[in-house]
Amino acid sequence: MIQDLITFIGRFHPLWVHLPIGFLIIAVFFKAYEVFGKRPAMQEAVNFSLLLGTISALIAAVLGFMLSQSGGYEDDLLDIHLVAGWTTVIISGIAWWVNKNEPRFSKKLNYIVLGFMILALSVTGHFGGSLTHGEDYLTAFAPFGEKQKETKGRVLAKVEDAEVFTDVIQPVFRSKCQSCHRPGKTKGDLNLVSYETMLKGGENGPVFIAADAEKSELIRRVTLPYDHDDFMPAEGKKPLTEEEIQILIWWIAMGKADPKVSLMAADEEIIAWAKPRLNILGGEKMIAVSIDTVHLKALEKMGFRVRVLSHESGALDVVLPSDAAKNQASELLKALLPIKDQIYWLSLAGTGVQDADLNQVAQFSNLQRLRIENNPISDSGISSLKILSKLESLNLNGTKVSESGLEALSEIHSLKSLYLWNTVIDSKVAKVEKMKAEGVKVVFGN
Amino acid sequence: MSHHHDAPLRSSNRDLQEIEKNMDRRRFLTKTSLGLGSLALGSLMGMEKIFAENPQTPPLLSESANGLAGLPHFMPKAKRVIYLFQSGGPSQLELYDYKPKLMDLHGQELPDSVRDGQRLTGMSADQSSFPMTASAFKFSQYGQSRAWVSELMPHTAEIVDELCFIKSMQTGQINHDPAITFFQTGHQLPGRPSMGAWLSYGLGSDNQNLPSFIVLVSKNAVQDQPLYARLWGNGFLPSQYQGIQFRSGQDPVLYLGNPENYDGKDRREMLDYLKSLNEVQLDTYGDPEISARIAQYEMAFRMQTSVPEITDMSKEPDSVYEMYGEGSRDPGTYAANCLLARKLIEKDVKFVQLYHQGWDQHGNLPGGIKNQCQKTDRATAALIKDLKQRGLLEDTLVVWGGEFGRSVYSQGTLSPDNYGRDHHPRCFTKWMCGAGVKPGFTYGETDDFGYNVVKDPVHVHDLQATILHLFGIDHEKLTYKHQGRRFRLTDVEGHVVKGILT
Repeated sequence: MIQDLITFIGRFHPLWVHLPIGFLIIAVFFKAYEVFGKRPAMQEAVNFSLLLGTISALIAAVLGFMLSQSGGYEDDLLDIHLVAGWTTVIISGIAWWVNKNEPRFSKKLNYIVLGFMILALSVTGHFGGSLTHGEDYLTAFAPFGEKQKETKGRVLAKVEDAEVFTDVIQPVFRSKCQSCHRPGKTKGDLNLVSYETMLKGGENGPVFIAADAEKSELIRRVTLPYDHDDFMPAEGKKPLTEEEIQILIWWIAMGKADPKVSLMAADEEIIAWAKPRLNILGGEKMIAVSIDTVHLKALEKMGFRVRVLSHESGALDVVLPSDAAKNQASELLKALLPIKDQIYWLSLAGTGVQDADLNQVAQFSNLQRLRIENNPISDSGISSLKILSKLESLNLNGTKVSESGLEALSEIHSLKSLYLWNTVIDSKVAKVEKMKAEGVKVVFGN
Repeated sequence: MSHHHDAPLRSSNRDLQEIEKNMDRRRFLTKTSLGLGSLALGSLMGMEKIFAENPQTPPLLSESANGLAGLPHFMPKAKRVIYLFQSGGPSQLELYDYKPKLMDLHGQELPDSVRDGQRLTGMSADQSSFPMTASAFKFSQYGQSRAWVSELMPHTAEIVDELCFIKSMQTGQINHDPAITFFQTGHQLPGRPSMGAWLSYGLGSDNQNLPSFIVLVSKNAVQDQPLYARLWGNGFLPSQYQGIQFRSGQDPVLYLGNPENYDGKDRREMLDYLKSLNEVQLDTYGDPEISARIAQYEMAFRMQTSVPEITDMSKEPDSVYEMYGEGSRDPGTYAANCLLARKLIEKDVKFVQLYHQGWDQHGNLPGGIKNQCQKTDRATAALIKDLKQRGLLEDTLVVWGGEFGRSVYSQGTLSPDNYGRDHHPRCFTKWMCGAGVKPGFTYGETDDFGYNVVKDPVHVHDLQATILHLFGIDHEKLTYKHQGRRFRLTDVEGHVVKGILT
């Protein structure tokens, strides 16, 4: 609650900051008018503007601090912005004090303080802008700056059309290499703008040797220690990430540097990494499930232990400790219904849940791991679990499950491990053998 | 500034009101007497929390229990870890890293090309001869994974299909204390938080009644190399994240029981009063250590009931003791600690750290290591089997290993039936097991001399990054700002060892 309120108030920071900027700058203009225009009466106006500027800067700083509490800002930039902001507050306060008591101090001091104030204000503003708009916002379109790169590749109809070089590697080159290796700037006589120009190589010879990633100059350069003279990208520019290097290595080694090799030929891991980076027409967006913290807090009050597994998918791990269940398990389970699709892991071990309760558990459609060991559960309850199509691990230790209960479980094709310790089931029966043959790890006691 | 003066008193208790009043006048005087110039300064003082270690306001107990916002960074595999630290540097050459070629080379000088200028410890650097030494123990292959295990570890040999061996561990440290400190805190010099402290700081606790990080040190080990509490310390993290050592014997946690002739009935009342007193201080100074202290008193209060419960072994059936070995009946032994570790894991304690010392066989290695294995092998294997049958290996990670390996050359004279081995940081074997790691798998290779890694080296920081990864943590993102810099467990290095993940 308090945190939300702080964030709410903090979000007025971007609005408010323009006030001190205006007040402090107008104070300098008034001062100039006072001095050059020989209007000593303006001194009052300078004073008043500086006072307003100081107070509004102080408020802006406090709001900024509140906003920073909500997180999500780049730490280093935030630090500079924060220190610069408070410096502005202090210097503008001093400027006001000095100006107000001008007869006591030299005029020179007055000007110096105002100068520093404007400097601090500019630094604060610049880094504040970098925080919200990104570090290259100001320079991206400047005539002297490097042009903004289009990092996304061409538009594709479907994933299967993607080519490793054109759709994955080219965008990496564009964002990380082509600021130097492009027509007009070809550093080291290397132009990476297309496959053909890359084939020509640079002043140190070819860029790669097909099917031999280790001997390829490109791979050597990007995997050297950062401080090595030959390391690329040079001059402290953003290095390639581990995944980007992996895909380059794969393309040269396994893809034999073929410009047309399909992404689908690559390792699963590479595909998984590259997929979200492709520019697929009408591509599906990940729908994040929001996590209802108020409801989770209520569940915790009831004795559940709830832990977020993934903020992206909203997946939750829910545990009902046996001593918190107090024979009320079936009542308590009802409270889980509002989050039924978010429960990925669930433990009800030793809570006294019964067959009827498993009907509810069966509604938790995304369940992957289920622990219901040491409960008075029998085959009829277990058979209701067969609709859990994502269940990977099921713990039935110390339950009344029997051979016929296994029948229902064999319908869960996602099942990878099944625990049957302290049950009446014999480890040698045919049904168990069959499940093992289908790749399920069936565990009995030792 | 006068609003400080008029602020309503928080407490309804008259004693506390008195304290608040005193505090208020003092604060009023210091902050206002210097005039308006100190206004800015005063607000800066209030900002000290931004520039100091802890940018967050100290979390309340219930919040800290759930860890940091935004964690885990991605879907975890593991919920808990048992780290079986074999302190002293167990010899990989006698246990898991089978080097048959050494039998032919036995007694020959270690070639300089293999040693390649490697620095040696002061203990063997003066030796005139470095005779290569084959293991005195036989190796066989076990399980479906055909893993090599020596005859010293007959019980571990039974569970190799659950284990993921990393034969290519490497460290930069050559002596015990820096090497263990490096493994547990990510830096060879003391002062950084330990891995367990990082995990409880990041992920919080899964059981409000027990600490999330518990340490057990074997009492039945040769205590030749000391262990220090800082190996499970919180470093610069708030102190409620430090590991709590459970000792063997009557009092598992010191000063937890009520004093003699005190029935403890008004303990709760006393703690409530103390808490409100501490909160007045916290309100005034905002020192995170005060909130840590409050949290620790509360935890200690709950531990007054939870600890005797968990350390009560009377409910374990005889079959369990048979499984873990007879030593498990004697609290404080490695076997009993393994059993206790399983009980703690069942209660969702996040990090259980065992230490077993005495693996430092500079001389008389065959006898020494045999003794070590007899004390640990059976219980280690029993723990894995027990976790497996209970279904706990699904989300529990077990790590076994020491701080470095041992040299291929004999330290001291190589005699037909006796030899020793010096420290060796360039290669050694660890194994992991359970949540998210490949079972029945071997990763990395060493050369025929057992001296250098030839394939897939795994550095200490890589192992730490991998363990954090299994908990859904990006090791580069779990940081804490201290002395103007953001620190993390893996310092500026570490790569997740993807090859061992399922």
